[in-house]
Amino acid sequence: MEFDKIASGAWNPNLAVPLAHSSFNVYDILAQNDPDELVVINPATGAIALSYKSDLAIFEASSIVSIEAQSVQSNLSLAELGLSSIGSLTGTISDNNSKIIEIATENGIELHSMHINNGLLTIQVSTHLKHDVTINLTFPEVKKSGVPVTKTIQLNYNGSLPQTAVTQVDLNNSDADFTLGNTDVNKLAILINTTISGTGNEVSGSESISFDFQFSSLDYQHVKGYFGQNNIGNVADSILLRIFQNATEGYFEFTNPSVNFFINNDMQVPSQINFHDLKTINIQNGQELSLVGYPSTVNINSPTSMGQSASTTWTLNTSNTQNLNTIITPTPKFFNFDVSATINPSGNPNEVNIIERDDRLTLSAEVSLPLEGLAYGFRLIDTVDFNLVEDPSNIESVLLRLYVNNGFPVQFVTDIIFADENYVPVFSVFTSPKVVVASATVDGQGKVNQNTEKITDALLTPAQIAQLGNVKYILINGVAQTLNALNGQIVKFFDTYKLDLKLSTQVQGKIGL
Amino acid sequence: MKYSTIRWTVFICAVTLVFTFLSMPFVKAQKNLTLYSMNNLAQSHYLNPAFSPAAKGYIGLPLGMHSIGATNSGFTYNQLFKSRPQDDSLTIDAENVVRKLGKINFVSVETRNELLGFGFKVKDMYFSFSATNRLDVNFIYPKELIQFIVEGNGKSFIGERASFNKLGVEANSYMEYAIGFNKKVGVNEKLTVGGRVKLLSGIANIATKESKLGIHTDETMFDLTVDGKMRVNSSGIKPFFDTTGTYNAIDAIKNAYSFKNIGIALDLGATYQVTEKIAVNASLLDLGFIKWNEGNANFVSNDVNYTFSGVDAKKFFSDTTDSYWDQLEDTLTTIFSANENNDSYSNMLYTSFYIGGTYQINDFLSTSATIYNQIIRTSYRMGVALAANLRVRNWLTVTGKYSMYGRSFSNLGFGLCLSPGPFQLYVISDNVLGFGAQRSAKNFHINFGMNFLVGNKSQKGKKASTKIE
Repeated sequence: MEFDKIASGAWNPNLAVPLAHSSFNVYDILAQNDPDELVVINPATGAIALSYKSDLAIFEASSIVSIEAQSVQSNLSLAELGLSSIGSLTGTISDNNSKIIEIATENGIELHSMHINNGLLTIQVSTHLKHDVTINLTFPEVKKSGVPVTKTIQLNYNGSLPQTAVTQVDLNNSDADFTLGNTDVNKLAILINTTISGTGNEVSGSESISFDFQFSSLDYQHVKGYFGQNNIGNVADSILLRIFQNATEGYFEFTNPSVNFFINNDMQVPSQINFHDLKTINIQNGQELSLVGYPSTVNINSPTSMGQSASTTWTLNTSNTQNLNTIITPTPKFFNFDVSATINPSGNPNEVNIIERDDRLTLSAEVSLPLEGLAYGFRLIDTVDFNLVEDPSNIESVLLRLYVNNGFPVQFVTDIIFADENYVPVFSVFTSPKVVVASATVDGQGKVNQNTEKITDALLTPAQIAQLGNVKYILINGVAQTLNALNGQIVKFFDTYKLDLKLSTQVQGKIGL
Repeated sequence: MKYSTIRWTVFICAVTLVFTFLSMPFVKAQKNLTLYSMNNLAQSHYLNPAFSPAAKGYIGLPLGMHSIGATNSGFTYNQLFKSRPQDDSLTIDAENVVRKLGKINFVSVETRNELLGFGFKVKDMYFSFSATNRLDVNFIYPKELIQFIVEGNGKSFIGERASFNKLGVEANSYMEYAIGFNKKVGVNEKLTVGGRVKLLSGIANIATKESKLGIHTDETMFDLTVDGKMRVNSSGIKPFFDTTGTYNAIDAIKNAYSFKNIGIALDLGATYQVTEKIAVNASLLDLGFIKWNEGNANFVSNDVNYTFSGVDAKKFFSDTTDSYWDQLEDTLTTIFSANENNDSYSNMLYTSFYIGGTYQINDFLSTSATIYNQIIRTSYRMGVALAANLRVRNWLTVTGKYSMYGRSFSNLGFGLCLSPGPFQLYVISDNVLGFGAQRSAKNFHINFGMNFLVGNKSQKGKKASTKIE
């Protein structure tokens, strides 16, 4: 037995093993980990739509009605005080007067009533009377717990003129009525009782008592009135249509796309949403396509009582637009919205406007793409990093076998290119692009009625394996299309569709012993 | 019937038997077929209790009988290695080995060491005693296992099940304490019957009770399905794999005489002198069992039927990588687990039987034909031998043998028995080519020993007789 003569040998096993398998349904393929994208299934039919949502705008009530700090003056003449020009005054003279002050507002806002959360009224009094004056102020329509707000101001003549006094009235948690008994708006009545105690000095005849009413830090809980026919905000926003994100080109036609708007209104104010510019944008080629022939305004519902909300849904589809499916066809990336909101679009309504401080009008949009239509030339490109750590000299050939059981009406043709670090092709797996996923067949309604199986073999020859050391990337370049898309075949996607994949390999080894 | 007709009938029967059994699975180690033909040797009664030596008695001292045989039924050295054309180096020719293998192949080793033996005659009876250590190890390997390893599963096994059924080990080590007896019976005392009762003390055992294993490769996507079930009993081998216990060699040695693993067996034999020149014989050996009670480790696997279709890609990428492999490992551990117990079990011995016939040509030369059969579990193995005995001198007998067994058809046996004075020395091999032409041999065997004879009748010029004394 000449064991010392045993030289190196060779072991040439041929190993056939499964590598991976998986099953994909519509959720796996279409739904990404993105809260803004949903796969929506019709529970009755199982039909699928892709839904892309976004919150577009929020209009705050506080931006509609706000009362700025302001100062209002008023004056009591000598006659109103019950005085005339006399040499000296020693007795006491009292008189009652009523004054009206007006609260200034913006944008034609008419205040009827308000519950004031926070507020301060600073009253400055000034007079040239050389006598003691007692002033009792009553605001009959500013009440706290049903009791009118009152304030007494005392002026005691000490020889200096003018006599002045400043006092503050806390308006927190008070209710104000600005209608003067439903006869006017923005007005507030003040009852002024004055008592002049003569000091023996003269009354020259030119004296008066002037008042300066300063409202500040007014914050309301709710306000009633008419808030004007005003634009309450403009918003521009867009929704990313992720299904097209990796698509570089292609024709994609949805037969029944729609854009749904969801408006939630807390304000008891007639309102309207105006759509100025709805368009799709393809940021890769800059193409912008505007939606035309659509109703550009929608009247939105408002609640009937405070603390309530009212919802309005408005849908744009191929029935009420001229070119909705056309502007989506060229695989755009964004759906762009430019909207504004108007309150009291028809002017002063029969019913009073009511808003609470935290009321909002919110607007969200959803682009819904029912998966029904056709697509072709939908190019998908992906690059996979590759770094062979094993010694390829132990491998003579490699067969990769892909099995696809396709329940989707989509075909995929691809080529797989092994490229170097500069993305220069080293070799291609197929001599020409190959159908690796064959489309399932459909019935007359476009629904799949028969899955299709396809087995694709990719053989790496010894020469190709020897070059694997130079390969740094695997380029997968494929084109997808729906069944008979070029002939206008419409297909539909349902939640029952599945794609089963299996990948196996057969390796011929040549291992030196 | 004329003598010439009888000889021709015997010859035709022998040839017919040879060619009939050529088609059968010849497997197994050497079976002392040459020794069976040398029935003048004291130890020949181990193979047929009806045999007894020409001497009145013997003692297996100072050497006793020692036999060792090994067989690889699958392939030879020359079939495993081939020369490179550019130089005289050798390379492994695994593909050739696969071509040469039978459906089921064996590597076996058998040893027999007589520690004490003696026998003596009283009138027409013969008594004997022996204490022998016996070791029988068989590793059974199916062809498709080797083919699977050499070729992989991608050539011959696409769409097929690679069957590894019957893969296993059968090993038996025990001490045999035997008392033998034979006697001539019948009117003409042409018939001799004998038997040996043997008490056995088991030392170690491995018994593959059930061995079903296979791997199927799916024709289309190469899914691998492993199926099978294994059931292995063992005794006395825990020191080789149990790292938690403490063991010592003394315990193993004690098993040789402690009878904790006790067994009993029976050998039966008969010879019949048909005519003055023709005799026939038959024996049944090792009809018995051992009950293994101590140091047992029995393994029963689950019924396995597991298909691997590749990694579940969705699960792989959603779990952490380690989590996925941990789960796979847990699954495989559960599927391929085995239950262990230390229950007692019994094992039948490897029963064998010989059938033979001899023809005395003249005073010096005789011929014999022997068929050997053995049953190991559900396997049945056969061998055939043709021998010629030549008494060169009173003290020198030479035996030549040709046999077929272990899928080997080139086994030339040789026996030499020297009986100088009271001693009897012998050396026997069932395949001398195993020494001289190892590279092309599948079998290796040698049997040697020395006895002290009492009343050796061969010293007195008796012929090399087929008659059993």
